[in-house]
Amino acid sequence: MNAVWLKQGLSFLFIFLFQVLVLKQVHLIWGSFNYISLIIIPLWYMLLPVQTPRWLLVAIGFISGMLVDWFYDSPGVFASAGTFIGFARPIILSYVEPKGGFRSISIPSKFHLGLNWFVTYASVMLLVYLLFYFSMEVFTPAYLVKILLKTIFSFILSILLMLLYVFIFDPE
Amino acid sequence: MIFDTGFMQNLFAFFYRYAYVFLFLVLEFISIRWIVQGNKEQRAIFMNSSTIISGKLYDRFSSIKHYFGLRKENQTLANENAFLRARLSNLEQELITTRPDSLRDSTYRQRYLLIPAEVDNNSIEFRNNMMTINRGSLQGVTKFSTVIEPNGIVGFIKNVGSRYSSVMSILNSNARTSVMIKGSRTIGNLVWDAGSPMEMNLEAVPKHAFVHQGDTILTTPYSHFPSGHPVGVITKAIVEPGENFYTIRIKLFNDLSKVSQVYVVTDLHKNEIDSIAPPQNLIK
Repeated sequence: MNAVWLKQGLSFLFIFLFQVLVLKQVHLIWGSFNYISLIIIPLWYMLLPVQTPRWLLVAIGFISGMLVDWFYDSPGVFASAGTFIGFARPIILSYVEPKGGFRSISIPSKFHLGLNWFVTYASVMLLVYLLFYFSMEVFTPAYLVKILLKTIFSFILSILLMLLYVFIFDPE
Repeated sequence: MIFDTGFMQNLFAFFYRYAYVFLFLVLEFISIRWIVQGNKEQRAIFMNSSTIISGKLYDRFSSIKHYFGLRKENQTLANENAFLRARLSNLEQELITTRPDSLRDSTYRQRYLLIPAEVDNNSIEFRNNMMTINRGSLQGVTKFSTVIEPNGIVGFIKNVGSRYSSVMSILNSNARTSVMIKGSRTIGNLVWDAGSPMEMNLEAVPKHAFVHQGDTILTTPYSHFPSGHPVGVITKAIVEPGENFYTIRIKLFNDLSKVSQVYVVTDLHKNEIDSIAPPQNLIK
């Protein structure tokens, strides 16, 4: 149990620092095309153990989101998105659950469940996360089109980054 | 009997089972409150701690970035030097011709204090962009200071730490900058539509004013920025049918995505001006 959470802590540190030190510095803007934010932090929520209690997922989402907010100077935006994805994860997992259930599998990763399954799961998680995140960031329903465009364009590049991470580290 | 043990057990079981839903609602409520309470106390506490924690880390990290930008930095500083030298020699000429011995210079006082600073952390892709600079109250930054570049304006000081400060970029939906058109001195508000970081809108210019494409935009004496500092140039100015105000598009002179060397400007006359006329709410 402790070894699992030590691993989780290290992977959080890596993903978190990569998010706030590297990805935050990348500005992908051409003229008035300003729709891309590279966001990799939800990958960490995806790779938490299946057996994590629901209340812990919610609490972890809130606290880790707050940490990112500190670095992004955006009080509440990442925290609310993290809380939301922590709440939504068990629901999403129950929809994409493989035929035999998760049984002895602890981490819902590519290593255990294959690339196809993981891409489906990661896409749903990331889309839900980004849609909520950008709604909170823009915080006006009047900019619905902008929220959708930001979600779509950020999704494409962020999911590629996440798959890169999964291929390099292949978390068990 | 309603309150038998079975009922209580069920009740506890119910709360235990759905505790995560309540936790979710409470935490979501807290974070949304943070988002909504834009400029209030909570944000200030939040930002101060964030300035302390992230400031140091970003300072380390950005020194690497500054190294790669040195060549361009040098060029900018050399240009500025040349410009200032030209002004200096003009002023020297003026001093000679006005015979300084006949002037009582008690009327002359330094108005603006400029502190050079480096931008450690910057964003442009959000709707509310903020920056961190490596100067704080120990170096003389105050809550009412503004931040400029040699060729444009950058933002407003939001929170002052001892060694770092956070800056609300002009690329922020909460930033309203009072600016004027050079020549006619027509006044308007500079606002950002969260699109290109090089372009902004000029609002509240009445349709009877004379506005032309290519007009230069400067800061006003009423803002906390030094008066007459260059901001940008008008690329489009039209009056939509039925509107009383112009729709004006401005291209900024400076590129805020590449900002690194800035000046913090403190208006030394601020207290005196405020004591005569209460400050207008120029920054929303």
